Amino acid sequence: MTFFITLLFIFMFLSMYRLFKGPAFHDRLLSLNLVSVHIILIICFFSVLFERSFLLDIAIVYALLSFAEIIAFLKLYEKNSESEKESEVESP
Amino acid sequence: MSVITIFFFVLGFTIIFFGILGTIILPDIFLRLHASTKCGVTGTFNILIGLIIDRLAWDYTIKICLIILFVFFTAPIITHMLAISYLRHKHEKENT
Repeated sequence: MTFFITLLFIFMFLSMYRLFKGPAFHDRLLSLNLVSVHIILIICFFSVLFERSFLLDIAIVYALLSFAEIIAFLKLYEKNSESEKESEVESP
Repeated sequence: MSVITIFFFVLGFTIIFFGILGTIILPDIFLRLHASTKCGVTGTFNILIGLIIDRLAWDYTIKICLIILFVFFTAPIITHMLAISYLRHKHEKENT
């Protein structure tokens, strides 16, 4: 069981490659989604390893939060690009 | 750990590894979205099924099934919104 948790941590750091070296903003969000899925899996492994079933509740709430986080980042990005476009039109 | 658990774990970790490899290697963002979502969701499903079989208890089973359902619903929605947003952004960039 400990071997698989170590492997999950290694995979999490491997999937952070696009988080630092993404050409577009959407690459970073895609990588963020993958990292949060790994964190959910790690919490589930810890819950089974330590025999504490309340850690699974934390995993459910974390899944909900990561979903809301990515949608909020996307909305913020679209809002910013729209306001930039409007300012470009107004400036000349 | 039984043999079935180890089988599910090895299957899930192989699928997740190839998904991350596709995320790193592939050249276009749509190919990366495809690799990440398909492999990530299937690998998560296999690993969580292995965890259920490893510890057969009612509370663990119900909660892990809830997590599986949630990941299955939210991951395609996130990919869909990312692809639509990127397409619109690219279209505006080409027009201006």
